[in-house]
Amino acid sequence: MMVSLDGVMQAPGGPEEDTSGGFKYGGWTYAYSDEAMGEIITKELSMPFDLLLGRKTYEIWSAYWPKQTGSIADPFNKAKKYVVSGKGVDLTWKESILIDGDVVAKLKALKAEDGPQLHVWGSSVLLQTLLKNDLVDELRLRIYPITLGSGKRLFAEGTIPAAFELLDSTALPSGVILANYKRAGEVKTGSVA
Amino acid sequence: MSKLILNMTMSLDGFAAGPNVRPEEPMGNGGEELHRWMFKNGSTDESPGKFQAEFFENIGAYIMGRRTLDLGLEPWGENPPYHAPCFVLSEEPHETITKQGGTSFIFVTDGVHGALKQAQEAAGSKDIVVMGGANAAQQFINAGLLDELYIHVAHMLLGSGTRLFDNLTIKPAELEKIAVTDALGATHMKFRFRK
Repeated sequence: MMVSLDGVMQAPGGPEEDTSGGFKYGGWTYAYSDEAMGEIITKELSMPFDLLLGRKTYEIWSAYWPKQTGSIADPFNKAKKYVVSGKGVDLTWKESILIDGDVVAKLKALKAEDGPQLHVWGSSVLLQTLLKNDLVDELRLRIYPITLGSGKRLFAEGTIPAAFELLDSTALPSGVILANYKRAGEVKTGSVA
Repeated sequence: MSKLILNMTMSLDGFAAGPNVRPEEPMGNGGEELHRWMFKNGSTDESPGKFQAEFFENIGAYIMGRRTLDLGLEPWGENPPYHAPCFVLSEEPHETITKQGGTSFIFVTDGVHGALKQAQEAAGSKDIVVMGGANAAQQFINAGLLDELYIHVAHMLLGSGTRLFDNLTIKPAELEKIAVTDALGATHMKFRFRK
């Protein structure tokens, strides 16, 4: 998840990616996409994965990625795409599978099956369902050194009390912080006074 | 105020060069790999990656050891990447070597203090970088002249070679961390000396 310091995840890739809500800052990761970031992304996409996407992200991606080739496009095009949508969606992208109806039950069943990791990109609305139902095993955050003020947020109405274990953290020279968390138990409280 | 910065790469086991440094292998056996992080994805002197930019931008003068110059003069070519005066610590005097693009090599025979004084005059308000070799680095550390240390720890073991932090006569010194980042197979550590 590419996210600003103030938790905005909308349209990281380009000005036309998602202008809903009058969002003016599409492409806010551009200034930080150097060789170091490229190496991280390539490494991540070199492991086997399938994609789990919400409808809006799927619509944006299915219009873009099939026309591209390369070290990022090829793994995305090759992976299975599980698309969550209550309203129905045009499955134009190769290897796309619709998940509708009792989404939470179906996702639990999907996770229980054998298969590669399910990676969620974008999908701010679906994410709230995943978080609320404790379906997220790992959070891989790429925290950019900017605030945006408004836009679709990563942590919106879906978060629940949950603790995580920090698996890995790296500060890139550009200032982007990578922090990979694993879901690990409950929130503990106490008094520090 | 101009800063004096040591900017060097070493392996995780502390070597600034591999064994058997010679003209055919200026970084010693296996030592070429130490600098690979600088040239990832085709960064060249013409289109530097972010770190090369940091090594070369806003630097008013360089200081280096004689041996480093002797080994580097030919590979650096007619237009070396420094584009600034480079003061060379040398036992023997030698006339200045002027290259294209603003790089010149000026030989200094009165030690680290002499080199620093000339470098400060040349650099004005810009910073000065001690760029190698290990011997020159050790002399500056021992003389207590450095303001900052930029050490790039390449994610590799060399096993043997020229240790960067050898022959130090300093008392134990705590460093103040400026920034630690990771990229391209090396961890980049910037420290300030507590004066």
